[in-house]
Amino acid sequence: MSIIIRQNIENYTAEELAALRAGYTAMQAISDDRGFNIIAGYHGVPMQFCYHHEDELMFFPWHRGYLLAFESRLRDIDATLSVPYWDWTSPASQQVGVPTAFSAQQLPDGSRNPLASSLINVASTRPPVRRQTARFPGDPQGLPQAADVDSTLSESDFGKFSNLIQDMHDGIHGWTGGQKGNVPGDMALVPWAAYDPIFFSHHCMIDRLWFRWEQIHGINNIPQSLLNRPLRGFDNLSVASVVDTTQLGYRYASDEITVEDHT
Amino acid sequence: MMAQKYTSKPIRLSPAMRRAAFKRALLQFHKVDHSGASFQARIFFNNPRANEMTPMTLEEGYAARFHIFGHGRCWGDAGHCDVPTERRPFDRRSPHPLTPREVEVVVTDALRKVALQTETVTITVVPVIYAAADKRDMKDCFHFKNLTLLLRSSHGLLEGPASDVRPIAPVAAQEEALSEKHQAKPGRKQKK
Repeated sequence: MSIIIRQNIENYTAEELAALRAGYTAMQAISDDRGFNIIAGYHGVPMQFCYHHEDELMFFPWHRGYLLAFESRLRDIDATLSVPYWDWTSPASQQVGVPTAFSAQQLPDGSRNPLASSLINVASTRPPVRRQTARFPGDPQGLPQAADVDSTLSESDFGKFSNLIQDMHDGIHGWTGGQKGNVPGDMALVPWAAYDPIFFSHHCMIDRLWFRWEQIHGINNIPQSLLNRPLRGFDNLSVASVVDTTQLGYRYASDEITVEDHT
Repeated sequence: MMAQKYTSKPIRLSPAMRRAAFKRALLQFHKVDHSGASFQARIFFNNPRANEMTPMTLEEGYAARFHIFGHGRCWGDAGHCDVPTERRPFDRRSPHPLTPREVEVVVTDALRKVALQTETVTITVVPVIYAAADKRDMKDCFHFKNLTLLLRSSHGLLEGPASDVRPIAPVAAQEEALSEKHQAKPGRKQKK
């Protein structure tokens, strides 16, 4: 059985992107617990399973488990798919911000781009919510640069590294969601962030940074007291079970080649 | 968009601080609320006029920044977003998601510059909002209990988890902590 190599969305071919979009479209059309809307609800509203600053050391492990659960459902639809990562430090993102794969509202055939938005359908909130996600990203100059990321990777303490990345992560959530008039972008607020399809690619980048850090500092360089803790919402996963991505069946392209377009 | 900023009262710098006899300076904000807006908090020393347009440079007193990924408002029924003030024995649940958080930023360069020039420092925090689900948060979103300025001497090693801010090897007169209380607005109520 081959291992998944999660790739940069910027390096997807047209065919790969079409397959990814077909997978997201199919997942968004499912209303039961295999569908996008239910798994998005694990993070904030209505389930609130995620860990952020109330239990900071769980930030990396829980989101790794969450990403895995999402990707498994995506692969139930098409086993060739994986979640792409959005490298917000890339030259392209520093220039245009959100990659066009996610920002284009419509596809060439006139259909809706499933990576641009998704339906939020939550009946248990006050009031109930049923609407498409919205996104109002900021100026690309507001995104972190590669040097910002590289400087964090030298931090050998797991907790300090986690806090540095989590702060960067918080800022990108705010930057990507933004606000227009009185309407906040969904990525910018914890309850709704995961309903925006770009959430999973943002967190794929975050997970990749933990992966890179593990390559430098080791997969066992984590407080032992964390290892037996379960990942809320995923009864088959604990922290110990997610520290080694090869045991989860994926890794990130470490020798990825970006071919520059000189046309 | 800038919300109401916070400026501390002038904090007198000790002789050790004024000699800039420290290796690292940390600024900690305690019990920071994250139930409302998402914003970037920009910290300036001795620049109470700083606003969202102020360049983030040492010359302007810029020290550091941090981010708040907020919850927007309460989307549940009454009591959903009330953080329990105490836990019952045997309550094994994780902390409430809106438990106020701790923030720590490195401010070494900015404090060193200030310390060599003046005897006091004021700390100004400019919240620049990304998104807010409640209009009131657009005006006032930054709430915390108090702050601490921590210095580390060249002998005081920074080790252990980031949440452990106690000095491991305090050196008399070279390791100091200053605290200022900034009363958070008591018990943010659910906004419907």
